[in-house]
Amino acid sequence: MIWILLTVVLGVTALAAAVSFAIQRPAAGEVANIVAATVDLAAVVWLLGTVPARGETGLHNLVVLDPFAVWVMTCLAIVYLSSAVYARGYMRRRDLSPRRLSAFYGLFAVFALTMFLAPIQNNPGLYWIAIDLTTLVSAVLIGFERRHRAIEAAWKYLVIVSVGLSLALMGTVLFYFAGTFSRRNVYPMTWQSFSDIAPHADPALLLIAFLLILVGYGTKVGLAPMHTWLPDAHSEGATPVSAMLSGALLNCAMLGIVRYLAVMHTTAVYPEAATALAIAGVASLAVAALFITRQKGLKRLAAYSSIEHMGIIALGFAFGGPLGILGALYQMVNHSMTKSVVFFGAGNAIDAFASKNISGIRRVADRFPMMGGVWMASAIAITGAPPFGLFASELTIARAGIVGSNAWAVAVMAVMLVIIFIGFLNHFRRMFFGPRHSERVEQNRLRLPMSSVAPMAVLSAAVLVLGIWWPHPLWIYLSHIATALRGA
Amino acid sequence: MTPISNHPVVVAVLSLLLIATLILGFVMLGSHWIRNHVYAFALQSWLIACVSVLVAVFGHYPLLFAVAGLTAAVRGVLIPYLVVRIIDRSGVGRESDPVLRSGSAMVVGALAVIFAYIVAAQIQRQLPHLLPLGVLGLTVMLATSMISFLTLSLRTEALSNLLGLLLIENGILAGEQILVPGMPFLLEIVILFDLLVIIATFAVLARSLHGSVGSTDIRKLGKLIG
Repeated sequence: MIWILLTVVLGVTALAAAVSFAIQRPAAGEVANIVAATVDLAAVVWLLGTVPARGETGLHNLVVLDPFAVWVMTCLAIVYLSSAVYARGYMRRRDLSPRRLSAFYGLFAVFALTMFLAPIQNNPGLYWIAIDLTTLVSAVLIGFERRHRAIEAAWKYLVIVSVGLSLALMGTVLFYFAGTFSRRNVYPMTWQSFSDIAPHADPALLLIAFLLILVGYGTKVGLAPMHTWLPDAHSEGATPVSAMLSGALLNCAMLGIVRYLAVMHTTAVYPEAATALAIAGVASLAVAALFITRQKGLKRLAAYSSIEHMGIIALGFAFGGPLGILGALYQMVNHSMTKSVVFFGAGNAIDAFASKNISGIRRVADRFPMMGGVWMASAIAITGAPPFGLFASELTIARAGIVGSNAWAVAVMAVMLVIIFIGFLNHFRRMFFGPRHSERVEQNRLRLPMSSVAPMAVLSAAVLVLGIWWPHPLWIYLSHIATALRGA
Repeated sequence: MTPISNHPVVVAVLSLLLIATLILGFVMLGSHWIRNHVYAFALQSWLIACVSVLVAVFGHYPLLFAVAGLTAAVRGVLIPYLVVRIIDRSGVGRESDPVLRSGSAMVVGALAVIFAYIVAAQIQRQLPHLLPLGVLGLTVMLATSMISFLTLSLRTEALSNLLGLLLIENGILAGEQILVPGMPFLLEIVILFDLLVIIATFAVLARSLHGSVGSTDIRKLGKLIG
C-alpha cells in the first residue's frame, strides 16, 4: 500500500508539471498544482498512518519509506498545498504573460517533485543528486521574474550552494571510502550499509567526512556561516517560492545531515559530530539575532528567521536523546506552517503598500483586519511565544539540551531567542501601529482575494492547535523516528 | 582498501595521469581566455577517462569501462561543445579586468596544492593501509577542488564560474576512481546527467543576466548584501 501511495504522490506531481507546461493557460497550471498538492497531502497523511516504524525499502533498495522520510514529506505537502493556493492570487498580480505564468506553474510542480524525491532516497549519493536537482530548479524559480536583483540572488544561490554541495559529495565519497577498509571494495551504498560500517571504520576519517557533509548540506540548510545566499534568495523570489524554499526545502536538506548524524551514532566520534552541529546551530541563532534586530527588508526579516529556526532544529538533533529529536521534528512542522504564513503576509503587504521595506508598511490591520490579525499572530508564533506550536517544540529542545553535554548551547539559545523576540516583534509593532502613511501610498487600494488569506488562516489555526495540544499519536510517531535515529 | 595493481608501471602511469589532471586545473587560474578553460576541462576529462580504463583493467572493475566511455563522451565532448556554443552566442572572449594577475593566481594555486598534500598525508598517517597512489588521489581531489574555489573567487565571467563548478566535479571523479573505484555505477551516470542540468540552468541564468545588465560580468551583481 505504501508504495502505491508514494507512486500517487510522485505521479500526480509530475502530471501537474506536465499539464502546466503543455496547456499554455495559467488557470490550468493553477488548478493542476492545487489538485496535485491536495492529493499529495492526502496521500502523505495516509502514509503517516501506514508506514512501518522501521521503514521499508523498495525499487532494488534504491528507495526508502521510513517515518522520518514521510515526516519531511508531510511538511513539504502542507507547504506545497498552501503555496499553490496562495500562488493563484499572488501570481495573477505579477506582470507576467500567460506563457510565462504557465512555465512558472510547471517549474513550481517540478520543484515540489524534486523535493518529494529527496527524502525517500536510500542511496546517499542519489540523495545528493536529488538535493542538487532541487537547487537547479529553485534557482530558475528565484530568478524567474528576471529583475536584476532576482537574477543576482539566483546566481549567488546557485554558485554558493553548488560549492557547498560539492563538499557534501566529497564527504559522501570519503564515507564510502572509510568502509572499504573494513568491507570489500564494492559494497552497496545505502544509509543502512553506512550504519553497518561506521563502528568499524576509522573514526578520524568518518569525522572528516561528516564535517564535509555538515558544511555541504549545512550550506543548503542555511546554517551560519554558510547562510549568505539564503536572505537574498528567500527575499527576491516570488512569495510562493520563498515559502517553499523556507518551509519545505530546508527540511529536505536537514534530513541529510540528520541521517549522517544517525550513522555516526555508533562511532567514538559521535560527541564531536554532535558538538559541531550544535556550534553551527548556535552560530545560526547568533547571526539571525544580529540581523533580525537591524533588518530593513520585510522578506529578509522572514529569511533570517528561517536561519534562526534551522539553527534551533540543528540544536535539537545535536542534543539528541528522545526529547531533542522529538522537539526538532515537531519544530520542523511548526516552522514550515508558521513561516509560510509569515511569507504570505509579507507578500500581501509588499503588494498592498508597494514597498519591500519595513519602513514603507504601516497600519496593516487598518487596511486588512483579517489578514493583519492572522499575520500578527504568525509573527508572535514565529518568535516562539506561547500558545503556539513553536513554543512547545522549542521548550522540548531546551529541556533536552539542559540534561545533555551541550548545556551551554541552551543558555546561548535562550539569550538569542529573547533578542529575536524583541527585535522581530518590534518590526511588526512599527508595521501595525506606526504613524500613518501619506495619502499617495494609501491610494494603492489592493483587494486581497480569498486565496491570499485563506491559507494563512488555516495554517495559523493549525499552529495554534499544535501549541495547545500535542496529539498523542503524533508523539508516538515521532518517538519511532527518534528511536530509529538513535540506532536503538 | 585493496590495491588497484602493485605493478610499478601501472602505478607510474596512473600517477602521471593524475598529476596531469591536476596541472590542467591551473589553466583555469593562469589563462584569461575562456575558450582555453573549456579546452583544459575537455582534456582533463579525457585523462580521467584514461584513469578509469586503467583502473578497470588492472583493478578488475569492468563497469569502469562504461564510466570511461561516458566521461569521454559527456565531459570530454558534449559539455565542452555546449559551453563553446554558449561562449559563441554571448560573444565573451576573455576576462577583461581580472581580479588577480595570472602569476599571483598560480602561486596561490600552488599553495593550495601543498595544503592538500599535507591534509592527505595526515590522513595517511591515520590510515596506514592507504597506499601512496591513494594519497595522490586524495591530494588531486582536494587540490582540484581548492583550485576550483579559487577560480570561482577570482574569475568575474559567469562562464568561468560555470567551468569552475564543473572542475570541482572532475576533481572528485579523478580522486574517486583511485580511492573508491567500486563506488556504485548508477551514481556516476546520474552525476553526468546532473552536470548537463547544471549547464542548462547556468545557460538560462546567464542569458537572463545578459538581458538584464548587458553583459555576463558577475561584478555587476553587487546590489544584494547577503
